[in-house]
Amino acid sequence: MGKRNQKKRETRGQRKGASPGPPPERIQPPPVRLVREGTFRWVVPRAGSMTTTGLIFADEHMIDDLRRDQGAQQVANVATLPGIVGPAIAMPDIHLGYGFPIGGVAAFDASGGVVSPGGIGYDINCGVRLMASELHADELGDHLTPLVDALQRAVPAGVGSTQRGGGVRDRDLDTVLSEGARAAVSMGYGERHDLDRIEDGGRIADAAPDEVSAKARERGGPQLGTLGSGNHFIELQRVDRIFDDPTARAFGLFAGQLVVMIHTGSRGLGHQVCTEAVQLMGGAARAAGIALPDRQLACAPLGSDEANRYLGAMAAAANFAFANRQVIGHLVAQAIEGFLGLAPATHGLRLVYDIAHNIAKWETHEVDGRRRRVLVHRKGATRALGPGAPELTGDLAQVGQPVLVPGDMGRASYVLVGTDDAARETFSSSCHGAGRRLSRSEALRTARGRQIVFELASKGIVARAESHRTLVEEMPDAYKDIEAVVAVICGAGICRPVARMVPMGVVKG
Amino acid sequence: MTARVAIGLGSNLGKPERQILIAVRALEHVPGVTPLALSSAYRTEPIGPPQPRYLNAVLVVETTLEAEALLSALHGIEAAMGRRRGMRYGPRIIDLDVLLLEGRVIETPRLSAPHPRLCERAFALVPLLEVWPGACDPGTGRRLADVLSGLGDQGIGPPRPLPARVGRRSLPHTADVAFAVTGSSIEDAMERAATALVDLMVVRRDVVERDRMAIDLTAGDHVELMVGLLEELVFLVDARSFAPRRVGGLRIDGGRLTATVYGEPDVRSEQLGTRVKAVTYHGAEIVEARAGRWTATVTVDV
Repeated sequence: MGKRNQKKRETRGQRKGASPGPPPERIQPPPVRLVREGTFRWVVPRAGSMTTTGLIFADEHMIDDLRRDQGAQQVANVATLPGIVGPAIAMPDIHLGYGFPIGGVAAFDASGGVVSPGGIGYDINCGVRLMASELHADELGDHLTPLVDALQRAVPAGVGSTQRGGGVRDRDLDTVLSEGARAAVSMGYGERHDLDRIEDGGRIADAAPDEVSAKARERGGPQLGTLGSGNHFIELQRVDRIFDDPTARAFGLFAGQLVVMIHTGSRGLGHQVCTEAVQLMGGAARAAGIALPDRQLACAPLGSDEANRYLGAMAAAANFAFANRQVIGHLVAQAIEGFLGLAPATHGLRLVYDIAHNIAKWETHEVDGRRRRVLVHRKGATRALGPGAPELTGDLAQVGQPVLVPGDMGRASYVLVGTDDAARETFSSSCHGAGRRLSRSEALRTARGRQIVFELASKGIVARAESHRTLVEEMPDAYKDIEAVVAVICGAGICRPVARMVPMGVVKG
Repeated sequence: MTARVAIGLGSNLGKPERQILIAVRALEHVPGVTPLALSSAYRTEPIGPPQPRYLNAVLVVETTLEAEALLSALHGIEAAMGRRRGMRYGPRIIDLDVLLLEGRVIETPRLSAPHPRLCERAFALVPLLEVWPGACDPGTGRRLADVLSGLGDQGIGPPRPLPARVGRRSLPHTADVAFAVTGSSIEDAMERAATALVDLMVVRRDVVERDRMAIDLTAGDHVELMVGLLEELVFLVDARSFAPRRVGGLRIDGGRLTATVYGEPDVRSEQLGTRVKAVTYHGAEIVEARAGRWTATVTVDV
């Protein structure tokens, strides 16, 4: 079987930063109780090694689900980390993560606090972008299916997909890592005014491209401009309902409108940065004498060399993700404009907003009556700024920041807007989606005998995927009901609803 | 020459879960049989005369035994557990069937493999696919996952995890894939963890061993070494387009691990399975449960 062709090659093996020695000290996970403190608020009281409380936004059904898995335990575990400010927070789309729960928010003090790569996640700056056309969705008529096919052709997707031509050269990659979406715009992807509608202008400052290893570059470089697999998608949607007309108009949305949503992140580059950082932080936590209830919570004291190196690499990976969504957004807009014969300059797609939901950022928040600079970790949670927040510029300053909440591919997605309550209660953070209800294997098992493509087709939704398995793993029933998640987040006053969109066509990786 | 075999276990008498676990333990002690993975148990309605409901599970093993010798071993275990062969489809304390041999069709007076009714029975396919997701019918080449999706819901209950760490087992986790493996030594357990990950990332039977990659890494402790090894496999697939088939020659010397990955370069898209983002430390563990029996637990982010 071709054994004569055998070659021996070395893969780089040194585990950077992993000094031989005992593992980080382990402590017992704290005991967990859930105490209801309002219609949608549940508190995990301080116990064991917790230094603060946990705060979970959920309804009764979600809490019932949560009692069956370890999600609340993970909230309590986060509350044991040094220097945490305010409660360890979880959004209604909470589900079991590794270390941190998905749907988690935690802020750490600049002095005495930590950064934990697991609190950001492997897909650094995974996020969502919404682009709006000027068309009514009805105008598509019979063209929906060929348009979905055109989108599938326009953006490489699926397992191990790479951009045609092999992505960017290493010099350009450095620019992408330091400049984010700006670099993509200067390479010809999209327009300069797009940047006004991207969180932080599509660029996180203080990126340190030098801290992005050769392995991360090798893994992620060729993947710029690709969607990836799993829960990443491109979705054509129809604006089904407007809740707040002035805000919707400010965002550029109207009832019946054809819009397109994109969900992807930093691909293999971000995964590799996080992988190496978790390894590095195991040693850092040990050196700093930090005891952990779960090794995936590995962290380093803010200000330490390990923390600075990771934050620089994370910002660079976040910039890669902003650039990735900018490139994909351009490819998608080109495909739609080309297909429908729209003049890009006058009738093209416009960016509504682009947000991150796996990221840590330095922000200033009022805590106990005092303005404090804190590092806010959001893992499966988005920033949600209310009207008048100083970070918002241009036409959004008066109305607040769009919060994009994708649902599953069979039901609905939402645009919300941040409020002042969010600033007070959640470090200006909101939910990021519906949240998984079934594991992928449970989804495969429950779906036996079902044809997800036909089920979606019977609802008028055209679905395309590189693999049938992805469609089943991502089927609507695998997710919580987005309506319930939005009801909790709006009921708790963290956001206000602006628009609801329903899916028309979806491309999965 | 080792072969991978799926063994069906069924029982509807005398605390069925206990009977299944007894049979699994017995199989672990058959020379030449190495259990790889035990599925969850599924409650199913009986076929044939009125009788209690069945509990079904599937054990995947690797074996050096000839198929007929393996069948004899199964019959021996059934007899030792008090099974009397009588009424067709009648109640039974334990039923052990050879369901599937990887890549082989067998027709002898004593044994037919794949099991003649495998493709009609969701109660066999569901647990089989849980622990062997890429399994194919060697006669037709059809993926059993496709066969199952063509069958209706045959009234199978939800999966009930069996309280045994046998070979490799899928663990429930909402966002991710988690598995547990056992091995006779720490090196063996790590190689098995590697095989479990490879099974997730590629369709192993479609990968040939015509190239190899050397792995050499150092780390602080055994968990870091194991996670490091698995991360190298993720990197090989995602960045180098290298399709691994297995990890061999694994050696641990203090804080250093060396091993060889066998497989083929330039992975084709049809060889790829689930894309793995990363290997996590969440619940990661490798411990000697008792003398000569190591267990490893890993959660990956997909």
